[in-house]
Amino acid sequence: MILPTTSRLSRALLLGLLVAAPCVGVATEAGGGHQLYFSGAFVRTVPGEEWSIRITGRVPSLSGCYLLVHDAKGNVRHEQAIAQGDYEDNPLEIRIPKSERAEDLRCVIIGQQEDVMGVNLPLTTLAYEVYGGKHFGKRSADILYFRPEGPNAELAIWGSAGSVKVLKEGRLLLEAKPETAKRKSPVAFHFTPGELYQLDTSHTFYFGMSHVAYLAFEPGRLFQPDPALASAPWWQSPPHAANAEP
Amino acid sequence: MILCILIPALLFLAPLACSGETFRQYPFPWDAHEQVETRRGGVLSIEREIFERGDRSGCFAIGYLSEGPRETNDLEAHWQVRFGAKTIASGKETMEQGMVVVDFSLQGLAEGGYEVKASLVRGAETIWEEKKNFILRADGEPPSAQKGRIPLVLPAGVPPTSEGYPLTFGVPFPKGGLADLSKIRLVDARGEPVAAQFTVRGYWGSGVNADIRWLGVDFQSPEAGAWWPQRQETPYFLEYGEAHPSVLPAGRLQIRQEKEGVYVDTGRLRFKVPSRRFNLFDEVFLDGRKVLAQGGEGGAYLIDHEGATYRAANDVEPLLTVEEEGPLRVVIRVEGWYVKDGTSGETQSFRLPTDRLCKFVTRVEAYAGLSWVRVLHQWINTSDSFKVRFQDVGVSLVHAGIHEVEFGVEGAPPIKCLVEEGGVCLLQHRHHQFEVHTHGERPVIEGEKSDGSVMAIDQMGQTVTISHRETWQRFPKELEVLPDRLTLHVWPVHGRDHPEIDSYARDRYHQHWFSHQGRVLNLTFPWQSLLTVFRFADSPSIDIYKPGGTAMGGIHASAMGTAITSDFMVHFGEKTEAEATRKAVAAFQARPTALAEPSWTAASGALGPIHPYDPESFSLYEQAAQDAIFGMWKLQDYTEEYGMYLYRGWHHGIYEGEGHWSPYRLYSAGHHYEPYLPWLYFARSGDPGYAGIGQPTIRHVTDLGIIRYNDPAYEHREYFSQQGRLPGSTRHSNGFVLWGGDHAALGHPTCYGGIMLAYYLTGDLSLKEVVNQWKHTLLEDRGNPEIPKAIRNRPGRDNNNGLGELIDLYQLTYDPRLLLLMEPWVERMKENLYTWGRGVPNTLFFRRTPEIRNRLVEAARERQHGRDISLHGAFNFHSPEAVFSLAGGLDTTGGFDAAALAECDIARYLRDAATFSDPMTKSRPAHSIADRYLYLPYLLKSGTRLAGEGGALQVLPLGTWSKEGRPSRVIVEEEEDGDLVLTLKGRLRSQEARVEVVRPDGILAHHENLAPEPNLNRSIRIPKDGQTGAYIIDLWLRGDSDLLLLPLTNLPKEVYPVTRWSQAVPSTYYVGAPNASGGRLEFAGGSGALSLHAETDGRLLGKHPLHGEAPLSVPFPSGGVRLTAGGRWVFSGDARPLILSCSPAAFFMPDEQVLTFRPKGATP
Repeated sequence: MILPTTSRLSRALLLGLLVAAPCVGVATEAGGGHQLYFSGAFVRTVPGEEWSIRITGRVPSLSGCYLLVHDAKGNVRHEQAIAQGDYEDNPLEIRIPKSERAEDLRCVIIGQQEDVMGVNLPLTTLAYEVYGGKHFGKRSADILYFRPEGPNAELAIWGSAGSVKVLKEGRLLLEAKPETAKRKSPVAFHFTPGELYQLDTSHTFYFGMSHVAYLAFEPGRLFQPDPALASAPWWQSPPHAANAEP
Repeated sequence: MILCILIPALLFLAPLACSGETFRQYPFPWDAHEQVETRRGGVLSIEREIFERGDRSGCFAIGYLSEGPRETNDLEAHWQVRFGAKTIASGKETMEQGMVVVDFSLQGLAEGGYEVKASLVRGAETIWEEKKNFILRADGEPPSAQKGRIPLVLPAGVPPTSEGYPLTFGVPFPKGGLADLSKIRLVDARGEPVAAQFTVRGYWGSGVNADIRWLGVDFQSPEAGAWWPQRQETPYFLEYGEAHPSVLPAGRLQIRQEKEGVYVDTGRLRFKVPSRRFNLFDEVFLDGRKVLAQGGEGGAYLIDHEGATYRAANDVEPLLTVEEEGPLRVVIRVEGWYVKDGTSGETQSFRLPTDRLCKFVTRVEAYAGLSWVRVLHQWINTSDSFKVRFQDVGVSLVHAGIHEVEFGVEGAPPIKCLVEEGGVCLLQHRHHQFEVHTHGERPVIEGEKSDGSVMAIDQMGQTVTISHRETWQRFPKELEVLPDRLTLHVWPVHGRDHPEIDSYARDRYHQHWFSHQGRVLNLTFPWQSLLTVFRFADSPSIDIYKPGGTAMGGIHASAMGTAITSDFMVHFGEKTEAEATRKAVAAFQARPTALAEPSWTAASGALGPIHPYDPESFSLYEQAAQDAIFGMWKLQDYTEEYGMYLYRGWHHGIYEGEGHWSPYRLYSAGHHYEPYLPWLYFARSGDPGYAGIGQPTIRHVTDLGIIRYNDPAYEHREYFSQQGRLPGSTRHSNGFVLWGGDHAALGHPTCYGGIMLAYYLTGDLSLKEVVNQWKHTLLEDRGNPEIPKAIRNRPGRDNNNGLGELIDLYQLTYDPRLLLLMEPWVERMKENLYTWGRGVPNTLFFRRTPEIRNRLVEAARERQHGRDISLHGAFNFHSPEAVFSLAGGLDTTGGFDAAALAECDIARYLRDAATFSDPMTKSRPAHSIADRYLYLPYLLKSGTRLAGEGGALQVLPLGTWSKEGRPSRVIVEEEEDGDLVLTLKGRLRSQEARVEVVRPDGILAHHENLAPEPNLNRSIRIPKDGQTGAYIIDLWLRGDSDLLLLPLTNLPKEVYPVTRWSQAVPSTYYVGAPNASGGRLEFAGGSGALSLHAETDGRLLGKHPLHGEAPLSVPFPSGGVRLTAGGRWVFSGDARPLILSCSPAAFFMPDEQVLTFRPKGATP
């Protein structure tokens, strides 16, 4: 989870209760070229396999940012400060110990928007990795994928100061356009649970949904994480890590 | 000879290009093209909207707010002043310099309304024209005495010294009081003149003939007793109004400025402050003997985390100025850079490598006849604190041959050691722990609190002593002595960690241990602290209005622009005179000061219409103020808020009890004008405890809460608003550490008025320097890209506090550019009166804007009539007290004050006072103290008219007839037949209020319904009726809305039987008899605080924060009880009524049948 800068955003993190759904993952190399401002990276581990978080890109804030990984009970499995720096050519590899069973985890990056967006996605070496939340930000024209689940087959979608388009297999289903530059104008999207949809956000920076959604840049990475993750009180775990050395 | 006098006088009048001789115009340089206002075009600003005779002079300014530079080059300003139909003055002046100022004397002007018309003309075209009015009135402030005697008080006295102790302080004067420094002198209690130095710190007006508003006074005092708390002895007086020859000190201070530095001779001490290679001072002679020759290794230095050393003495071109100079005291200021050893200091970066790292501003103060100097050394951090750390920061005095040392300890004998090759040091590593050790060895001695002094003794028996103020409070600190030097380590070179402390525990995390322990000073805020805040807040939100958001402000805080001020004495002496040195050190640490007797200060008007400390008239309010402000301070002691980056900020948020502060808006620089508060209360009371709070608070704000430096190349931005730094701008409360978060140069978070007041009272030039830096930014750095976000001119609290600051700054400097700057701020205040800081008071009492005055009074009246609305934004959730205390003072009809006091509800004052005095329970938001108590002195000023000077406020205890059918009963005893006169004064809101008077024979003598009246002030006369004995006066009133002042009648015996009563304001009563069996006084419950004192000796019998049904029972003493009830209601129990009276003299015990008498059909 990447912490948003508004309270509404953070509240959103606690409300996500989507049902996990099995799907086929595609293992690709972490640290690709995608960038997104999001609330949390949800991943599914493979039993007995070590995996890594790979920080590439750039963390511009002088304070750096902070990374932690927690499970569905809120136990923090890993945490560390990430120093300010350019990681494009010098990726930071963070090895996470293997676990005996497959489990869903959430990676949280605490930092300013530009720090979060500076880290390239995918974040991990795991096959399944989605970006959860209700509020997002993105500059690039990359298409996002999502596979919404029930129980309500309706989702309001909005873009801020620009439009958001929902497509299915390249076909435009709806376009959410704000009435004014400042106002969001959510548009109801009636979806079929489990179907794959595309999200074109190339005309907006901030966009969001009325319910927690899980997005990916590749459809093969989509999965429905353990719903307990979204509300797991990880912040109640005593912190252990120190600041990163500059 | 006559010609010699006339010619300069004529030259002075030469600028009178205008037709009236009263008026003088001149161009003033200001390139006003870089605007933060959206407004463009011409501006006319008149200094005040109402002038009074005492102002002596006035001015107006004409400016042009342009889109680009030099747009005014071809403009000409035309102006004329009209009185009625007649133009009395006019003029024109080129606008080449940007603005035109017209001064005028009030002496030649008649009372009445004036119109000023200004226009800007380009060629034949008038491009802008505006008219504004001002009034000159004869009334207003009464003329001040031109001659008088002001008692001076020494709040905490002066400790004994062998040489006397120098006192530097400020005394306010009323308008008309003092205009000429030759007409003032200091005398002792016998009337003997005392050598003194006088400095003008502020004037009442902008003209050359303006009276002095704040006078700086220096003199030296021998041992003297403390004035506080007895408040009786005034050992010195200022006599003003007559010219007297100067009295010079025995050992006169002399200075000589040469190219190589300033040579100072105090009479005992001679030294040089070098203008190049500044090492504090050099070539020091004591009584003719050389005692110090430092060379280039002495003075201020620092070591970065890579081990490179930077010295002030390496700066080849520091800026040296003599700031103040007189027969008793001189202040020499030196500003420069710490320059790396072996470099020329040419390259500068905020990261390593750099030749220059951090700035210093050092003031050396020397005093006539004394063998010591005060050093006020400021280390200003110019580095990127995310990348640069410090191993050592200090000030050294190089002195060969040291072989003994003595460390002073608070409350214990000094520690004496021999100095061997490795040296010896005292490390104050916690606020209550120090250790003395020799290098590389375990501590040889441990103790609690260093007194900050170290005396080095050389083989010749000479001593050099450093005594640093607030050493344990500002830990970590180290005092180190080597055979060839002694060093005050501002950051210790031998610092240590405290693994035994859980820095992130609930009662620790606010102490910012990251900046107070370890070998290396690392000002990077720890992520662990943020995560701790998430845990305490049970929320990971980093919204700026959530605890985690403010902690993120800390994460993104850069310490560039912070300062650490070290205030220390350097004393030179002989080992044989060590006791005298110790006394001088003790006196320095005691920080003795003086001030004018508080009633003089209050009456001067320099602080606005305030009432001085007056426990005789307003015991409850005064006690509440003391409890709240000192309670807050003690709470911070309890929560151990010590350390060089912590001592002592104000909290904004809530104390949760048991040592835990709520993490939301943890600290605050001046968000609710807190730094003003202790100085206001010090000036109006003389209680040295307030100065004890004010000193560290104002130092903390000016060191850490105000940005002292910026490097424009530094890419850092703070977390939420993405602001960088703006020199002189004040941090908000969103940064968790004081140097974090957003900032404002004008807006609601600032408190420059507090800094100015502290400067006026103390003469501390380092405070004035901060104000000047802010002023420079406002007036001369307006193109700075940080300006638009730092000038918060939204209508409401941002605008209004900003205007208050501008008016205070104008009164300090009378820079006419500020008039143009403040004009739009005045207009915006008219839209919204949201009272914050000193905005509305300053506008009312300096500019005297009638529109604002009228709206404020109107708003208060509306509220008084029960219309609970926010008129013109005047009422806000923070402080209705502000509005009523100001409106009460402005109202001229009388009776309004009672309502003001009632609205301001002492219960709220008391609640603050009570909740901040118990460290185990949850308190209210800390800012509420400033919100309320900032205006209390205004409120009491209004209240004195109500209660009468010296009179106590007592209100009728109101029975709860609406619930129980019982009226409020007053019983009076008439011993001789005569007229009975009821005086009903106060406020009635009830629609069904009623009064009945029953004679001793049971006959109804008078009854009438009373109409609602906010300013009730009427009499009811019951004529002489042939009766004597007890009259019963029953009043049907509502406790939550009505208020009647006591006594009610003209008879000397008057009592109020009650069992359950309510009161709109707190009150005090005498209780002459017990109400419970066993001779006890009992209460069943109530709201708010209740205290019981024995009437005869004032002994406290019981004090209780009555909440609900909590009972209180005390033995009833002979002589009766003084009862003070602060809450809305009190329930004494149903068994027997409590008989209250205003005083013992008014008390009598009525017969049982009178108490229980029910007139037939009398109940409405």
